[in-house]
Amino acid sequence: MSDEKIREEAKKALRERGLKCVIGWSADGTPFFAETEEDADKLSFNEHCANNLVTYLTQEVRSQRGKTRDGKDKIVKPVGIVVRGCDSKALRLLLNENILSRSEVFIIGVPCTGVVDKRAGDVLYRKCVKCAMRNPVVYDVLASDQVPEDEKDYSEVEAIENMSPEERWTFWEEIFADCIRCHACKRSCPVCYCDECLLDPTDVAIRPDTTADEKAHRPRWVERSVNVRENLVYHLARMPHLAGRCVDCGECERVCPQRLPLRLLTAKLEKDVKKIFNYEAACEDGQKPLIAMSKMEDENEFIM
Amino acid sequence: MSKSILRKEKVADALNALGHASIVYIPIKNKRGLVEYRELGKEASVADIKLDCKPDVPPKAIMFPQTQVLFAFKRVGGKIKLAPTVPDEREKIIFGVRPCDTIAISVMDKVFMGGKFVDSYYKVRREKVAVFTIACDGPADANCFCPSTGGSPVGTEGSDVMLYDVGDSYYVEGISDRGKKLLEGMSANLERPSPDQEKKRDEIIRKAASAEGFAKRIAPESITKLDSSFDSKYWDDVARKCLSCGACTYYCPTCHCFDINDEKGGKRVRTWDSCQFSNFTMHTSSHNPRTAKAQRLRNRYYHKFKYSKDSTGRYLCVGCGRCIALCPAGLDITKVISEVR
Repeated sequence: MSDEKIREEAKKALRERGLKCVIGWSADGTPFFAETEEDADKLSFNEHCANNLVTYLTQEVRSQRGKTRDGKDKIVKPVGIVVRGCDSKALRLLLNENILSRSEVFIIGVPCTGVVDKRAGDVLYRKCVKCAMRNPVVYDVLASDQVPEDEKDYSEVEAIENMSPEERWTFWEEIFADCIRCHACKRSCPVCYCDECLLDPTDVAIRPDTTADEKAHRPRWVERSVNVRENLVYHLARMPHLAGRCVDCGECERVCPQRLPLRLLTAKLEKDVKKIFNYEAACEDGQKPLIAMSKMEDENEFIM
Repeated sequence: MSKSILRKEKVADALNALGHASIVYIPIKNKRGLVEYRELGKEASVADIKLDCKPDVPPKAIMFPQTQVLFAFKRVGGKIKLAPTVPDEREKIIFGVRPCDTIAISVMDKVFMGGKFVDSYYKVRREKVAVFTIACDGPADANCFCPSTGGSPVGTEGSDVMLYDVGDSYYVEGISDRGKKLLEGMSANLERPSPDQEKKRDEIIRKAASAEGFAKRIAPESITKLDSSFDSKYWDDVARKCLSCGACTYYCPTCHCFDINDEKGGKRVRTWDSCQFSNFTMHTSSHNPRTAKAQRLRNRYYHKFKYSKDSTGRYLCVGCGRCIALCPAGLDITKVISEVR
C-alpha cells in the first residue's frame, strides 16, 4: 500500500517540482535513485530497506552547489527522499544546522515498524526492537498511517554503566581491538558531513596548492596503525563531535562489518546529553545546536 | 599415505598433534558471531572449530597483517639508529581454508614474491605457512561465484593438503610435498579410505565441475565489455550508492594495497590501504588523479577484472562474495560487472 503512495508522490514531485531525483529503496532493500517517473515505479519500502539514505541526500544536494563562471550561485534542483522516523530526525538535524535548506529537499515520510538484518538471518535490528522514532518528524507527505512508538530503551546502556571501571575497560577494549577502521561507520553517518575529519587519516583534504610542508605537519590525532589505542581514540573522539547531534539512528552499527555494538556509544551519548543539558537532538524544527547554547542551570563543575 | 581418511572425531587429536610443531589457525565463531581464523590453544579451542561454512573473514592477515612494524628508529647521540623487527620463527598451519581463499594466497604470492622485487616482509611470513584447504560442496553461501573467476569449489591451487567432507570423515589428500610430509606426522590419526569414501570424494569433485547451484555469476562477455566502458557514465551511476568506506577491500582476500608511514615512538609502519579512500592516489605534488568516488570505484573493478588479467593472465577476484555480503550500500560486484555498459 505504501509502495503505491511512495511511487505516486515521487512521480508527482518529479513532474511538478522539477526534482533532480528521488532517493529511496528498491524492492530488494538497496538504495535507489529515481530520476524519471519510470524509475519511480521501482521505489519500494519493506522490512529489508535498512539504509539511512540521508547521507546520500547531502551528497546529491552538495554536488550541485557552487558558482557559475560569472560568479553567481548555481541553481540547485531540489532532491526528493524517502525517510523513516529515525532518518527524518537526522534530516531535521541537517536542516537545523543549515547544511541543507528546506527548499532543497522534498520529503516522503514512511512510518516504520522495524527493518531486518539480512546478515543475522532476517531478524529485527536491535535498534528496531524498541523504537521511539518510528514516525517521520519532518515531511511533505506521509506514505502511510502513523504507527505506535515505544519508550526509548536504555537498558543496555545502563548495564554498562553499572559495571565497575575495570569491567567496563575490558568490555570496550575487546570491542575496539576488533575494529579494523574501514571507516564505514563514519562514512555512512548522516550527520558526519565534514569534508575532512581529524580522526580519519585516509581522507585528508589536500588541494593542488597544499604545500609539502603543510602536508608533513598536518596534525595526526590518529595514526594509520590499527590497534586498540588508535581505534579507541577514533571511536571515543567521534562521540563529543556528535553530542547533541547524533539522533541514534543506528546506521554506524548497521554498517559495521565487524558487528561492533556501536550504538552502545551513541545511545549513552544521547542519554547523557538529555541528563546533563536537558537537550535532545533534532527534537524540534529550528532548534539551536547544543554547542551554541549555554544555560545558567547547566552543570559546570568541571570548569569553575 | 597421500590419500587417507580423518574421522571427524579425530580432528581434535590431529590438530593437537600438528600443534606440537606449528602454530595452528582454525576457523571459529567469535563473540560477535563472525567466523574468523584464530590461533589454536591461545585464542581458540578445538571444540569451537567451525568448518561447515565459509568464514566471514579471510585468512589474509596471517601472511599480510593489517598493521606491521617494518623497523624502529631512534636518535642516539646525533645519529639515527635502526632496529629490525624480528619475524615469528615458528611454522604455521591454517586449517579449514576454503578453495577461494587458498587461490587468493597464490594470487598474493605472485604480487609480493612473483616478480623482480620480492617483498621480504611478506615472504618470511608466507614461507612458514601451510594451507589445509577444505573443499566446498557447491556454493558455500548465496554470494559465492568462484566458477566465474576461474576457481572451483574443489580447486586445489595453493593448497598443501586438501580435505573433502565425506560424511562422518574427511577424505584427506596431500597436494604439495610439504603437505604430504605434514600428513606423515599425523599418520596416527589417519586411516585408509574405503571404496565407498573414494566414491563420495569423486562425487564431490564431479558435482563441483558442473558448477551447478551458483546463483551469482559473471558472464565472460560482460568482462570483455570493460575494454570499452572506461568512460561510461555507468560508473557515476554505480558510485552514487558507494560510501567510499574500505569494507570491500579490507575483507577481500586478494586486495593487497598498503601504505607506509612513520609513526610516533619511532616506528615505520605498513598498514592496509584501500583504493576507495580519497588519499590513496594522492601524489607528493598534491595532485590527485582520482578525486571522484566514481573514479575510485571504477578502478577497483578494472583492477580486479582487467588490469590484472592483462598483466598477469588472471583475475584479481576469486569469487568469495564477501564484498557483496558486507557492502553497507548493497553493491554487488557480480551485478556491477554484468551490467557494465
